[in-house]
Amino acid sequence: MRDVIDEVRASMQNNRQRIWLTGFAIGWGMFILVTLLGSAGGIQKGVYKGGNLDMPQLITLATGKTSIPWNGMNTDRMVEMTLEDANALWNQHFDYVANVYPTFNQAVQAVSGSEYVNTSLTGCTPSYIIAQYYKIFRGRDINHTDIEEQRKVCVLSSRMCREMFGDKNPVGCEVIFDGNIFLVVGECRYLFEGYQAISAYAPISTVMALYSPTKPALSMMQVEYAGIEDLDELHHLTSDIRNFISPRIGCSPQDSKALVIRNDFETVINMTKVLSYLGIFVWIIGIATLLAGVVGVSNIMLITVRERTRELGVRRAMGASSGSIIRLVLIEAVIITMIFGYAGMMLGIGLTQLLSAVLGGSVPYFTDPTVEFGMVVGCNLIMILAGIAAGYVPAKRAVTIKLVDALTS
Amino acid sequence: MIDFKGIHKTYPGEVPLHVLKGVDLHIDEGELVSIMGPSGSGKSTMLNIMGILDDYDEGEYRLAGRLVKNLNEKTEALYRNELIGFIFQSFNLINFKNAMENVAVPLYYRGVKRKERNRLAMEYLEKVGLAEHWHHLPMQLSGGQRQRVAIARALISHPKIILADEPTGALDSKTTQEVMDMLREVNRKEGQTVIIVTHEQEIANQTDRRIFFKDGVIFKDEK
Repeated sequence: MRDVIDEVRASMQNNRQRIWLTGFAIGWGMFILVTLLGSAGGIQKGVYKGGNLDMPQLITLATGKTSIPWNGMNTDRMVEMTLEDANALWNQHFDYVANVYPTFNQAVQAVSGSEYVNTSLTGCTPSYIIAQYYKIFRGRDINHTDIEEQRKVCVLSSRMCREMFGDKNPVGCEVIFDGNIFLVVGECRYLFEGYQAISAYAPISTVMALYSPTKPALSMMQVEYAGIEDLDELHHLTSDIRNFISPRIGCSPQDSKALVIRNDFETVINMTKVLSYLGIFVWIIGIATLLAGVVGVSNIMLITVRERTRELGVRRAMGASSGSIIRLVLIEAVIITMIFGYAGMMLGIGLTQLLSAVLGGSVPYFTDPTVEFGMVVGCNLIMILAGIAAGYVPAKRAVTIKLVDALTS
Repeated sequence: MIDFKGIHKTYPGEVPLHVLKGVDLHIDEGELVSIMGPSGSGKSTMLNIMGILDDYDEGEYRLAGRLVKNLNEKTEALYRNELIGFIFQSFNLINFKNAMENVAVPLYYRGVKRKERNRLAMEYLEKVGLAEHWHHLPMQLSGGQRQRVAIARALISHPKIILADEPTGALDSKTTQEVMDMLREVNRKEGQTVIIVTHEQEIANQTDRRIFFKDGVIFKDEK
């Protein structure tokens, strides 16, 4: 093998300009492929992260106007869910249901000293904040006692804390929502970088008593589920919930406009499909670029073989078999492809690493644009195949020339 | 050593060229033979067929007792490597290999290890008086030196036959004589069969047997 490599090295040293030309084509192709793959991976990871697609566990229920007559009632009626509906749903003990979160949202102005912000105050139950992919960073979550006693306590998002209190620990401070003084009992921080919102959470009983004392309509209800592994099970649960809630709020179970049910799992499935198509598309573009490089290498190898016809003829006259000539040309093509392919790959990896370091998750839906180990292995295989593909036709051409013609060429 | 019986060769084309028209020839082991004839008489074609560089259409060719017809490509390569040493008018050295590497090429294809290859190549370069030029590329050598490298390359694998196609055609008279002396010495000392295609009567006169070609047939064979 060392002899073969030496042969190839000598041949390459003798044709430096050609080697650079062919190598550039392959290196560029590999650079584009790796950069595209890294970027596509960054988009995929960013979408998963930003869209919480890796933690799908919520079914969201919202109400609107009826579109189908129901029980002698007309269409175009507003229907609403109440806390009783949420409690009744929880008490049904449907399979897979882990929690039910009724919520009530109110746009408010929050004031602390000279600082104020306009935000949404969400009335919620314990664990709702965590189900929204927040963690309690300081203090505590809303608890059952807060709800039972209608305490004026709140949990603020980290960004809101920063806006209102700067770097000070907000727990124990007071904040005034539309004239009502609330005690800050906790600070919550979104689990993912880059998407910190200004938001505030308080016991649902307190918020509804303050802002909607006569009309106990929920803004939304979320059902957290666990253990569901396929869409059939999810559709079954969704259907059970719809059949249970719809009659209670006065609409047909077939009326998907009156009771809108959205589940993240299905969104994930659809988004995953889109992302997998994106991945395939990127591979196609990348490989097409690489293929252009391979065609370039093959063409230049053809010219080279033509230039080397006499030399290859001499080798055959000295006892080289066709197989050894083909091997020589193929190995040369593979080595050129590998050397420059690796250079292109390393540059591509370097660029994606640089992007990852510089951007650091600051660009929405674009996170850690680096290539995975599997992709690198795939690229290696592609390089070897590309080298063989680039060298095969010239190699065959080299041995189909009649020996006596090769010696006199 | 070489047996030609009724060898015919025609080059196809719009007007097919019938180059060899039933050549019968026997050359024994250890002979020093020259083949002469005007251009187009078929002498080089004959040498190419002898060296399994070209095939023939009709007849029978036996090389060292083995029938050379319809051989697979690998066997042809093996025969060329083991039985034949070539010397060409234009030297046919590999331009990016130095003198030692050029001489070692036949051994490379015989699977001889690099160290042994290089040792033998140096030994043969010594024999042709070029040991001190072992590291020179062909373009750094004179015509005569290049041909001596080619001779060393032809000899290194101890072939039974040396085929030389106009080996002195590109050399001056002094160098021509040096090359001929070398070939005669190989023939005399090593007992190898040496067949030389030449235009030059002076070269032919230095061989033991002279074969004259005309219009694709042997018209004179003298010793």
